[in-house]
Amino acid sequence: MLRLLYNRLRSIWHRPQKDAELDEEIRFHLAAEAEERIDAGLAPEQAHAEAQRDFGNVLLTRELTREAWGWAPVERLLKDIGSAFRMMRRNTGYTCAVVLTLALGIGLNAPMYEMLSRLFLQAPPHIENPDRVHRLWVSERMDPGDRGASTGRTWVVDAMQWLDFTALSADNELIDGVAGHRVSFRTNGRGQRAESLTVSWVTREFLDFLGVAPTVGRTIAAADHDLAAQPVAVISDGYRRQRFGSAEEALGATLNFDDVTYVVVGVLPPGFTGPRSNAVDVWLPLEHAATASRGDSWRRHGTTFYLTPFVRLAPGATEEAAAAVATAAVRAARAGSRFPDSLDADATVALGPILRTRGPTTLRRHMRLPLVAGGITFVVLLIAAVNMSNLLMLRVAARRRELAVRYALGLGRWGIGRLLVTESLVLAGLSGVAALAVAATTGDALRRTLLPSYQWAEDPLGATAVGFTGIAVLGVGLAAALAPAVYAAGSRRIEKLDTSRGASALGTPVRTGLIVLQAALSLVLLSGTAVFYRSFEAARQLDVGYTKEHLLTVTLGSIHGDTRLDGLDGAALNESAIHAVEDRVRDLPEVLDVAQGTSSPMSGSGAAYGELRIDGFDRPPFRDLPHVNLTTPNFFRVAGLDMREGRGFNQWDREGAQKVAVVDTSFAEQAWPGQSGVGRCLFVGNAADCTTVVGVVESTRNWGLEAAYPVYYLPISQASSDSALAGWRSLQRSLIVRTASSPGRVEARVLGVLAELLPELPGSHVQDLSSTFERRIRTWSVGTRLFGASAALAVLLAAIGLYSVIAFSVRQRELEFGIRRALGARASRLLRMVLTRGVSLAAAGVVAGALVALWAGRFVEPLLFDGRSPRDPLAFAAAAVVLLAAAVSASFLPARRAARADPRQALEAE
Amino acid sequence: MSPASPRNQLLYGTLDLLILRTLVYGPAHGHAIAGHIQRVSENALRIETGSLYPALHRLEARGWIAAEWKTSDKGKRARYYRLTRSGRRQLVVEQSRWQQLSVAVTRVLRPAE
Repeated sequence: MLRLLYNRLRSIWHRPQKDAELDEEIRFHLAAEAEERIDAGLAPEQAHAEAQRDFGNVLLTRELTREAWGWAPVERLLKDIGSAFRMMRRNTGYTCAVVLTLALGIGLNAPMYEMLSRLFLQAPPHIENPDRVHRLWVSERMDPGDRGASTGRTWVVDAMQWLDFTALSADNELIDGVAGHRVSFRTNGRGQRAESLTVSWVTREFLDFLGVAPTVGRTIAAADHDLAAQPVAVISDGYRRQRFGSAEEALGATLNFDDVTYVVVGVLPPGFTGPRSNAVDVWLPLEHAATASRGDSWRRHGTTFYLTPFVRLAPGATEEAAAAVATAAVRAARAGSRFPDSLDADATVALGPILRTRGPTTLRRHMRLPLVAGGITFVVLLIAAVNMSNLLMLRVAARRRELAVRYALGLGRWGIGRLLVTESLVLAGLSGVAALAVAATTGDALRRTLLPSYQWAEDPLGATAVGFTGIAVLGVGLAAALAPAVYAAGSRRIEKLDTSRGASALGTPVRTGLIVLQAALSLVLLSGTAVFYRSFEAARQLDVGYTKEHLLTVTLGSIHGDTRLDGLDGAALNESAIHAVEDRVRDLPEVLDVAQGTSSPMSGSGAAYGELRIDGFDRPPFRDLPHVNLTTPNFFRVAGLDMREGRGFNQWDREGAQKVAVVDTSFAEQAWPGQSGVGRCLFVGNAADCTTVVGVVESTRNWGLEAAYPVYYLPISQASSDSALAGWRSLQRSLIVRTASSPGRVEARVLGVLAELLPELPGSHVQDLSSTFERRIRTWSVGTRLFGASAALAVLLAAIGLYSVIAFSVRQRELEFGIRRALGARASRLLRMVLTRGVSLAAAGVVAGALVALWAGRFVEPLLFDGRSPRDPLAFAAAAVVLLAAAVSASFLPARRAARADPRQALEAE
Repeated sequence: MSPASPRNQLLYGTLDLLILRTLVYGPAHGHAIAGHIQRVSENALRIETGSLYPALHRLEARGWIAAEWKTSDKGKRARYYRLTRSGRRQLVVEQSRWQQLSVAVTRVLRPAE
């Protein structure tokens, strides 16, 4: 095929014709020269001979002239490429191995790099001068009003209360613009057909501030922010495609959030996500959206409504100067507010890059995972490159006669080096093409596995990924050829190649080094797998308190985020609806029991920081303020929570009876360490009368897996006498459903009941607690799988590499082994000799890899469960055992061959 | 592989200048160009064919001279080179460069005062 291409290129360039012309030109010169001499009186024969002699080397002249055509390098390159393809065709297995591993290595790295670059490097697209747009970070002490042990902790967030935000202004030389947005999940429409969208509420200036131009229609204009105006929305191109198809159809369509109808007036360009990397579906004017969701009060209080602020710096302004101005403005606003005492007067504002991940706070765990994954895939790429280099090295050894002949024919050292580099690049190029296919098929899955909560606005195979592939191909191609090419070209070894049997030593140190490097990298991945697996197991076996199998949670009302109380509009009406749902669900087949609580197990939301005073304490003795859960009497039984002391609630704990509470062990241990909790007195809310603790229940992991927050439980039936609790009860409600078998089928039936009785409730609120738990431990399960798959690949490659090196050297030393046998060496001794060689290479890799893994541990440490150490001796030992076992199996076949060496055969072959 | 460079060869780049200058008088083939330079320099400059033809083809590739096949006065087909417009410009450049060089060399060789 290449031959054909080559010929075609030749014919395109009229090469043969040009060659013929050059010959004719030279012939003419010779003839003219001879004629001159004949004219001068020489005999024709002598004249021709002299002309020829004067001309000198015709071949050389022709060669040099051809060089002047400027094609020689191209021709050489084509020749080298042709030779590379012939080499690959002759060694199909070798080629496949290299191309496959390299394709995997590059193909996984390309979408990974694209993802990481979106998260950490590139400013989001379609923003005008993004380096002048800065995210504001507020750092302030929490709760200066002395309400608990959290007092004095400093919080740094990229969110600002409305009071502070309105104090910022662009009326100075430093700041050109101020804008803010608030992003949340909102439901468009009602009931089971409702769709959950990512919605950004934007301030008046926001879209102009970013400088984005719509592809169709218009953006939200200043006049649209007037509450009297028709509410409008602009949508992302992704949502337009998914929901409406053509842009024309989208314009004029309506969306419904919080009972307000918005008309779509524009579509923003593809890939536009605002100042964040996570995609947004809809942008709404803040005035309309906040008023619809919060009523008119959101703006009045100024301290309960938060949004993410941005400023655009004037050219030449420094971040520090602008931050000082913003800090002064915020402090002034706080001092002049209605409640200056409850706000930290020393709050400071800092400017960060537009990307949230580059802000001053440490990365959250779910953002660290992609970084570690990036590290893992990079190691895989390294291993693939080393593997390729190793195989190329073996090729050099196996082809030493061919190379020696080429050298003798005048290819030169550079020529041989060039040939090897070309071969390597051709291989890498082929792998690059395959890598693009790998990237296209795995990129999306990779993204969704690593950051499931992210919506990506663009394809994983973007320009960045393709660019990365190109650079990786070039880099790996050159790097892999480096060792073999330098080795083959940079020394005098080639000249001796075809003469002596000592050639078996060719490249030994380099090849050995490469094998050790491969083994070391494999050990890093293996130990990472083991460390992650240990975290995964520990998390999986964690007792969360609840019996999480066969438990469904149904969230009926929640004030999490900005979600308004869907389906709950007036307590009395709701109570009966909730009771109706509860009864119907209880009657479903396979349902064992149903209980109610204001907090949903492991939801991480819906819990209040209750106002609480404990008898005998001036202030609550807790590091974290306790959460409250109002429950029905059967809650503990249905949830599978064991009473540790005293009793749970019963039907007599109702309004008018003695007020009772149950606390969990975490609460009791912090409040009354080493003593009984039963009989203690709590003052809940503003109540002056005592709520008696009647029982202590096992603690639960509701918010994070690693720590149990203190929780106290109150009977839901005793809540109405306290206005705060009654209000809480009317806003928050969950059902927990204990099922007889796997809750999948029950889930569908529960949804059916909800659709019938509470048609306004979005269906996504029913969840299986086991899958909620699975999601909580996904960092470790994903980490384990990712490390595991990479380590398996790495060990396989290392084993292949080791096998090929050992097998090659055994073949070279066949005679030696034969002679050893003849002199009486036992087969087992030879076997051991070869095995020892293989294992000692792997052992060197273990040592080197362990050192690297000890160092690299710091990067995975924050990701491990419950502060576990990445320098786990057991994990390292397991990794070493796996690697050494792989080394033994890889060296076994060649070792057996050595042990069976037949002296006679070996001598005959000589 | 590279040819041993003759010691008595022309200063690098000078051959180009000589070829371009020669072609000012009209189109000529390689043999005639070499002969002309040799004659005019009164046999001081001998042009090696190993340098001449590569130089001609290089100049052609750069577009400073163009070639066509014509019948020579002896009735044989020969490859005639002629100066192109950009070749004329290049000649001016090369000539002034040569003059600068020769002035500089002359200065260096001037007897001390």
